[in-house]
Amino acid sequence: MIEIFIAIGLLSVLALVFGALLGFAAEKFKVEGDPIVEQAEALLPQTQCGQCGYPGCRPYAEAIANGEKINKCPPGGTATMEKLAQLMGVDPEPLTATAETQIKKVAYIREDECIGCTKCIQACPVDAILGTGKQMHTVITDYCTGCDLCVEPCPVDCIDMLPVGQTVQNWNWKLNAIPVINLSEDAKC
Amino acid sequence: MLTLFEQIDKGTLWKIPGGIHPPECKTLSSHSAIARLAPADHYIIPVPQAGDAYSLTVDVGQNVLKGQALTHGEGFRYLPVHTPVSGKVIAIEERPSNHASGLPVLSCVIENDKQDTLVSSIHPRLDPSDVVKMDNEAILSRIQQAGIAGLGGAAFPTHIKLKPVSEIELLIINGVECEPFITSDDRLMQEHCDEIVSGITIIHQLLSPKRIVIAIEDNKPQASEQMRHALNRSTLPSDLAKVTVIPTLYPSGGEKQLIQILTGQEVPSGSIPAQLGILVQNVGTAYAIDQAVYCNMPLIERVVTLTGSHVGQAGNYWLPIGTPIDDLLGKTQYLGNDDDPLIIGGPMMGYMLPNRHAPVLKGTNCVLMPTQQEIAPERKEQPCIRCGECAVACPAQLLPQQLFWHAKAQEYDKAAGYNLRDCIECGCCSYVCPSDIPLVEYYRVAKSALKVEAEEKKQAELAKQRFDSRTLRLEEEKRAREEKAKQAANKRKAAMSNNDKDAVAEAMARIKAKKAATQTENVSDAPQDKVAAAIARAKAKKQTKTVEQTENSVPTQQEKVAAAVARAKAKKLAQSIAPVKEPATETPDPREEKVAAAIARAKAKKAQQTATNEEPGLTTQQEKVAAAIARAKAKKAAKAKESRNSDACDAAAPVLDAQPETISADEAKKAKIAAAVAKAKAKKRAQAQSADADSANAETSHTSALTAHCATDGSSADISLTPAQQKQAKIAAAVAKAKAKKLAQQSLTNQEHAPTEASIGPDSAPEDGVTLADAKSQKSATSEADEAQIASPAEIKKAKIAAAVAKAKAKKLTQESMLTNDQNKD
Repeated sequence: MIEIFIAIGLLSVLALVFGALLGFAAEKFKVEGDPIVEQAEALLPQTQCGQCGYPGCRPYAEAIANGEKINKCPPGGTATMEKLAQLMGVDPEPLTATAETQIKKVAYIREDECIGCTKCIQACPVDAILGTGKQMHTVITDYCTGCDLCVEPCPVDCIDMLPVGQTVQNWNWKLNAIPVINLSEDAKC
Repeated sequence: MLTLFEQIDKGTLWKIPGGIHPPECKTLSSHSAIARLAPADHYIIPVPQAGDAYSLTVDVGQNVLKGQALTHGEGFRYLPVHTPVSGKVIAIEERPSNHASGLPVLSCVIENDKQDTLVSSIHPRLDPSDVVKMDNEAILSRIQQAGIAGLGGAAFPTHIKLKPVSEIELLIINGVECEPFITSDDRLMQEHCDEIVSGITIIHQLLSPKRIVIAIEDNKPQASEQMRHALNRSTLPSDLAKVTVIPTLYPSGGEKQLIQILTGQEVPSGSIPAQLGILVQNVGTAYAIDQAVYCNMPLIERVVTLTGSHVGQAGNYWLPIGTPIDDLLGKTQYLGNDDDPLIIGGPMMGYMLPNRHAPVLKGTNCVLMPTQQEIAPERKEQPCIRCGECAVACPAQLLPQQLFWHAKAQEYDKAAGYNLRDCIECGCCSYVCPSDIPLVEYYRVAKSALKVEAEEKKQAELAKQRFDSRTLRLEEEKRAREEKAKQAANKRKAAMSNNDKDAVAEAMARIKAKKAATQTENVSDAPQDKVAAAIARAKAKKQTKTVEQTENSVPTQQEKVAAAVARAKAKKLAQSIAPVKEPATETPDPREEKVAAAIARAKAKKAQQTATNEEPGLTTQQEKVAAAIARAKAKKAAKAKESRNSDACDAAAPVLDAQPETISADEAKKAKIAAAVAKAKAKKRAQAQSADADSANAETSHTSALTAHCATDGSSADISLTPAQQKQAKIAAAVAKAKAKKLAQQSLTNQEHAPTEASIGPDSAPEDGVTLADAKSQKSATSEADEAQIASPAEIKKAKIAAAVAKAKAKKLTQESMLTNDQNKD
């Protein structure tokens, strides 16, 4: 009979010890915030455009961590969606946006039509529009994330979303090999 | 164990992994001396690309001289471009670039006037002793202003390379030129060895390295011979600089490979040779440095190898930078067709030129024009057979197969994991591939994709920073706004509680008095008076309410007393208006009578409203009102007592009657003294202001009323005797008010002193005072009115003004009592 009590006592002591240990560890090594949110946010393009239905990239990242669909980010395109799918361990889904909206665009202000109302400046989430009241505004195209948010508030509709042109800097190499590899030693040189 | 420098002195060479021996085909162009072509009609100078801070210094139509800078810029990284000929700027527009993409870039088009007028800053060759005297800054500035970029092909600004952060111990002059076909450096070394060595001397002066090695492949014996002689002729110490001949192997000319061959050291991934204390410069760059420092000659021309079987006059040419490629073709007897490929650079690392209108650039060392025999038709890419030849050939010890798999599958991050960025794109792997896979092209695609991705990530990071700072800024702005609003509110509150409030009330009273005066002057129609009366009524009512609220919420004795006093004052004031106005009924003017009647009606109405339990037996209006008020008060007192569970509620009524007598005894004396004072004051004022206009009178009279009030001037009986009749009524009103106030105060004091009251209840005492005050004020007001009526029947207008003043006073009192309530609550 006494063995039973010893066993129960022993197990109780063990349970207490481990419980205390776990409780201590939970306090000591507490994880601040949700690391998955950080990771998801790092993958998002930070356009802050709100096309996903959330007011910015971080809220969408939080929503993704809570099980929101991963295919709601048109600026990120398929690449971002696939990375998010991998991160969240879900199947990739086709983007909700059409192919047209996935082309990277930036805003341009037709400057002679601008009346200097500053409405677009207030709308820009990333401070990419320069100008002041009653003065012409212009978009710092390098800073523009193409979020589209400035187009709607413009009272004179002088903002265009134009696709980013290819330059020497962002040109992607084409697979056009120079077939000089056939030169042999006996070729006429 | 020998040190590195001892080994270098001994001529020890190390082997690089991989490498290939492609057919050299250098004899096509290496035998003829460097020639010059007839000048072209137009030159196209691409201006630096976006990202570099610069501004154009020329306009379309402007004449330029040979060697003139086309751009002006600030910053350490800025590199100017110069016009290679004299002539006119005929266009600044986008022109096809000398780039694998062929995309248009902003360029200056110069029309050649064939005069070759040099810009004045270019001077004849200096003496070496002058250059020795130059300090490093001056030399570097000359090199920067000459626009010298690495002429080996990468076109990296030379002045940045020549100002390294770490100390340079070993200077390597790269004359290896390992690419097939190209012989420009070879010919330059043969013909301009002295200038090259003089350029090396300048670099030595700048950096003072411990050793200088001029590396030349063993397939250029004449060049190495010439360089040796030039070194011996130079001022450089013989134990410092030497020419090292290295075995021919592609790609020994690569910077990292050359360092490995000469020192056995590998440049770590992601770092630059300067971190090992090594600097590599091309021989062409050394020549350009010499020209820039000795003659202040900018980099406007370079040696370009035009070679291949399609060119009739293969060889090396001094070509002005900006020469259109299609212009060259015509002058060198180009044999090919328009669709035959042109290759910029060597066959291993060069690229196909998409547009022949593109110009020669600083990094263009060769234009290869091969025949169809030299380049076989494109062969179809076969599947990789995993032979591993590419890995053997790779000089950077990468795994080309793995890179290929991942690049083809577009798994660029995985390819990056295999150190894709260390690939020098030498093309050895493609060359040895038995399956004809264009491996380097895959790597280039992957590299540019990774570059774009990294750029996007950087942009996203910056965008996020901007977004975050914007959010923060907006929040701060909002907070600042709220803070400001709060402060303003506090300030307003503080101002209200201080004397400013009095000023406001005064101003309001003045405005009202004026309005009242004009009203009476103009028409004095009944409705307006009614309105005024209604306002006064409403105010009194409101005050009563507030006081009641205070009474309910704060049941301490003191507060109640104060509230009751305030209420009493307001009520009394409201009533005192009536007697002042009532005299109007007896004036001969029928219109005035009408007005008075209206006022009386309003009063009656008000009495009905305030005193709901009106007794029918009372004869005069005043009596009625007073009775009603007394009743209401008694009722309220009883209620308050009930709520406090006090059993002394029945005693309240007798005290109401008992108190007035005791107070009035004291009151009479005091009032008389005060009346005398008031009289004197009023007299003086009247004399001083007799000439004043009516409006001014209204104002001053109000002020006087105020003064009277402030001095607690208590009496009204003798005021009617003063000669200034117009002021009587006003003063009377003020006096009535003041009296009421004093009475209230006295009753308060009485309450504090009388032991009987304490036993009866805390609430009854102030009520007694109030009742008394009401009664008294009524009486005095009536008497005043009578007097005013007798003395000056024509002064009804003034009386009205007085009424308005009284109204204002009532308002002020209301505010004061409210404030008191607030303070009590606090």
